[in-house]
Amino acid sequence: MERDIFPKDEVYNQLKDDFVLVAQYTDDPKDPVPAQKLSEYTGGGSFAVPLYIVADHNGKELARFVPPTNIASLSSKEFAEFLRNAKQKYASGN
Amino acid sequence: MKAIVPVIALLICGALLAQEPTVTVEAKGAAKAEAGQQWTLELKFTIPEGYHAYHKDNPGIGLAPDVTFTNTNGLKLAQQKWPEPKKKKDELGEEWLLEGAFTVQYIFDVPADAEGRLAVEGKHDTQFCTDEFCLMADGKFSANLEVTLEKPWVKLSASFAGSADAGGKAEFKLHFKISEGFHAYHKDNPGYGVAPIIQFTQTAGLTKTGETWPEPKKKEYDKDWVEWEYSNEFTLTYTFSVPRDAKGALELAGTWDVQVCDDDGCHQRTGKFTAKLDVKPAADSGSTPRLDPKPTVVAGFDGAAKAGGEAKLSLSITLPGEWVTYHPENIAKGGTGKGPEIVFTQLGGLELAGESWPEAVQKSYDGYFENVYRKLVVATYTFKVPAGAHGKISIEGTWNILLCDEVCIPHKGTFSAVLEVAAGVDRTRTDSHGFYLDFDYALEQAKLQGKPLLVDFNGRNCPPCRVMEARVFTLPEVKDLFKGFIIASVQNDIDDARYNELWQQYKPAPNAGVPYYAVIDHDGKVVRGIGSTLPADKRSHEFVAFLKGEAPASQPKPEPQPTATDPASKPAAESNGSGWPEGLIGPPYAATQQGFDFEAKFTTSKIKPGGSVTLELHFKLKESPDAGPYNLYTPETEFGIPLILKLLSHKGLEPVGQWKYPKAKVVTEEGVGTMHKLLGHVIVVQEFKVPDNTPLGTYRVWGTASGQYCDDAGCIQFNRDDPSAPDRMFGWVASLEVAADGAITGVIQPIIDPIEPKPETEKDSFLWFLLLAFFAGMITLLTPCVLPVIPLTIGFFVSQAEKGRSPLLTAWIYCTCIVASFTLFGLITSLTLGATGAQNISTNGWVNSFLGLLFLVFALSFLGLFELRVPTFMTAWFTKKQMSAQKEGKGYAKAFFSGSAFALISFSCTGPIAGAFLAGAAGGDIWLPTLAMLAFSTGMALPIFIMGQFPSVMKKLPKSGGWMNALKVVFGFIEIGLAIMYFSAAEQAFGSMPAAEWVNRYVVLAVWITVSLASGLYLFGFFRMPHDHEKTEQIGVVRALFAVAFISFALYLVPGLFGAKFGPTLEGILPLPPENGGIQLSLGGGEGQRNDAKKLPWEKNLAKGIETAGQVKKPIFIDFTGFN
Repeated sequence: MERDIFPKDEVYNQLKDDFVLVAQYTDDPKDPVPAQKLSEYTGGGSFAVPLYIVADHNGKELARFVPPTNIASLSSKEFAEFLRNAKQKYASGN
Repeated sequence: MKAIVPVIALLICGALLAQEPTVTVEAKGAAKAEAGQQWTLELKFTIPEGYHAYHKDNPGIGLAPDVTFTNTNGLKLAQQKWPEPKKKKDELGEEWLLEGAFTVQYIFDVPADAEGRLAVEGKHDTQFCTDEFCLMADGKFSANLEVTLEKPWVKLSASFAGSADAGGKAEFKLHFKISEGFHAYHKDNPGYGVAPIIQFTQTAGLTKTGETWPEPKKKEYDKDWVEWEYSNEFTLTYTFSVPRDAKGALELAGTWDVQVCDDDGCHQRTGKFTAKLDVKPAADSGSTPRLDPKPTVVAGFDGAAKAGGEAKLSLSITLPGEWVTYHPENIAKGGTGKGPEIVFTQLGGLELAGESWPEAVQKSYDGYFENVYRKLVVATYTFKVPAGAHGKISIEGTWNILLCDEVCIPHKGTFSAVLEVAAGVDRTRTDSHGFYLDFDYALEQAKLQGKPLLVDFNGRNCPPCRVMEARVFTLPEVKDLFKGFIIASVQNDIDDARYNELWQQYKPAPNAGVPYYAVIDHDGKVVRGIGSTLPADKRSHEFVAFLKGEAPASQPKPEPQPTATDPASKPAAESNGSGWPEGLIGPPYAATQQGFDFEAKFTTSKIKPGGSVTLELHFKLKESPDAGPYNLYTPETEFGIPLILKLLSHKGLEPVGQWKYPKAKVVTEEGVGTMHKLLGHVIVVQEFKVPDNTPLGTYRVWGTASGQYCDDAGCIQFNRDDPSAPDRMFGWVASLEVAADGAITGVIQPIIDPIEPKPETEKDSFLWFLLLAFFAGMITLLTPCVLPVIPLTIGFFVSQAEKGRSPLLTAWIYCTCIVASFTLFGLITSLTLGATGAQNISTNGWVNSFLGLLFLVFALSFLGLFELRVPTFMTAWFTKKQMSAQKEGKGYAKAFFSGSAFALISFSCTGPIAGAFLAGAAGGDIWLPTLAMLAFSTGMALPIFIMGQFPSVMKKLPKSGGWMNALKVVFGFIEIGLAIMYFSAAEQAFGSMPAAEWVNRYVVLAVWITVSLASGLYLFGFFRMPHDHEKTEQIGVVRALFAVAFISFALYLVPGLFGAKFGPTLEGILPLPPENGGIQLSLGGGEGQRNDAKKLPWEKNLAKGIETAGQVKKPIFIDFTGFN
């Protein structure tokens, strides 16, 4: 994802201009917080990363993107669409 | 042309072998020897030029000549002297070599009575080796000697007459023979002759009690001169007393000094003698009972006891000989002897309930009786076992026993015994709510106390039952009402024959579920029954009414009445065309249809070969009539019986991954546990691949489902409800047509949590990894530490075969040891990783640093900077064992020790390669290190095993030479490449970064390019390394091909330095490019290249991100990701 999808213009420009970006490394042995946050959003249980969540400025989840198992099948357009929808949802909520 | 070179080399090698150099052995010894003296046999070994044999104390692995004397005619080998060996140290350890012609001296003791012409015969089995291979030679030798006896001679044989008892007597005889015409003298000889002087130098605790000299011939030489003489033969007899504590074989030794005379004069003859005496241990009773009489006391329980029951202890007192003791009440009954005193010092919670002693014999004395015991008395003690006891209980005690015969001696000692208490047999035990767990006991109590019996039929895995206990049984009103009953609990889902019987007897309907509460009268008949009255806040009054007997008994629910006549063997509702598989019960029968509708189907009905398809099992859960929706449980549930699906047949299709369940609703019920519930329309899926070569046609997959469905009030299991087949589950079948015009994919990606997300290629790559390890093991055989040892090993097998030992078994033991040694390493790694958590390995900076350093050390060792070796003390033990096994002729034992030694000694070459596989395996499955080592060592051992069976194959091995070191050097370069990879991973883990900054992708690539290039140039002979002794004038074809491959790989990697990407295999190994840095030269802006301009400002702290979002009024995009 980070290598193939994020650098595409339609995704990159949205991420850069419209979102506050937070990276949570859930397998960091020194920092358990990201893993806790992940389980807060997913309600516990096992969940594969990567997982992308768009939240409002209170941290409340607005949209979620679970990439397919085979990431190669994902098109950057699909992901750009997801970002657009999430942005609209945020705008309509405020 | 070049191809001919190795062929010629092989031919020369073969020709050398065909000449069959051999070892000659000449035996030489002095032609004459004197009886009683020593004689030396010299064996002169001649080893061919260029070969060497090994010294007998060789610390290395070479074998000394195996010399066996087949016939020595009574001569005893006393010692052997070997020439000083040439001590040679190399990477295999130290070897003691013997070269050219050398002589080994065997020194024999010639017996004092030997006489005449004797021959000493023997054979030898000699291993002789060059630096590259070993051969065996054998042959026979013999030497003659003439043993002379100087006259007058004296021969003596010393022996004990038979064996002796400890505490008894032994008879020792000295039998003399003297030359004809001579005589010796009696000890009391009144004449001039001196009697033999016998001195005992070693008596081993024996005490001489007497000696007997035979009657001499009294020869009168003159009127006042009489000599008491012995001639020819005479025997002196000595008697010894044997100590009581003596045992085993005692050795007696001494010297003799005999004067023998004839009419011309006297001679002194001296010598030594030894003799052995077998001593039998003294019996307690028998010949010497009075010396040390002792009673023996043994305590033991009569079998196991039950908690709350009784235990019996038998105390057996054995009295020696004629000794007696008395009945405990002897004095009270008028006797004088005191009976045994038994005191228990430790009872382990047992309570002494009684003791009994057998009747004693009345022995009459003047005017009174004694009550005596003889030989054996068994007293019995009875104990009460506490109700809560279980497991083992030890008791201890002391005894005080008076033994009397003509005198009385008090004895004392201790005894102990262990009682096994069968747990869970306390009939009065109850569960935490006071319900008796023993139904029959409860019924007895009910009759006894005149109360009705209330039985709680429940299940261990029944959540509503627990909720009833937590919410309803705890109500004060209910607690009060319980007092009017005897209450008992029966669980229908545990392995207890009585409970199962009771449930079959009392269940209100054939498919009834639990909980079910029944009031039972004293005849065991149900008065009234009720099911769950949940939810408690609304319906607990129903339970109260039920207890009071006010409301009419309601039927327990949700017990469906069976509608299907015969659930078994009914064809599937879905038309799958070919009936129901044999032995499978299904489809879901009436009981389950109450809870859910079921359907099994594929996402598409037609599929092309090579396609993928998903099997869906639909459980459409229904709404219970009065207690909420039904639910199933996922395998993660802590409480409740999970829904388990089994795939029994999938002919023609290959399952991919595991069953995937939908996301569960996690409910935590206080006092019960956490439950993972599946609700609504539950679809559990399994993906299948249709292999390319699957013939067209219709395929069926089938399997079973088991579990439990529950509503808020109760649960019904659907794996044991069918009384005719209580442990069978219901089955399902789905069919699929494989057709050329079918869909290419029927895979749907359900929005669910996979149970264990696993990459699809895992199984494949797993097998590849093991295969690679296997081949690496085979290649290891070609390294310089191993290859030269192979002929030696095979030679050993061959020599064992010649000795009549099975070559199959010898080779098998040898090879098994190699495999076992390596697999043990793998197992240790597996266990260590299992204990620490395998996942940490790949993300832990320290582990990665360590592995990096390890590979660097390995690399330097392979390149020739130093030699890595297993510490000598580790190998020494094995080689020593191996040598001694060799000496003792234990061929199989030797195979064992040489196999183990081989694994250790070859470490300097195998270690680094095996280490690479261990490290590679460490990130994967927990057993992968074990399996990897198994595969690796099998690859190593298998060729050895095969060559052991067919030694001729050995000649096909490549001739050892410079290329072996080349192999090592190339491995060294490869290990440098591995080391840098681990360093990169270490940095990434330490810095908590997605990609390493310093030892980054470009650095790794640069190192890889360099080592590949270096390997290639090295193989082409551009430069040499420390251990290369020969200059490569000509390079072989294989070598050239490898060189080309390495240089090509280096060139292939070069574009990577400028941002290019590689295939998925290589990308999987290479680290990601760093966020900045590296060589940002663009080669035409390749797709997917990480551009510095496109760097995104990632925040790592979510709280900060939320703060920023509030300020800038933007949504937050959270990337939950991982380093790996």
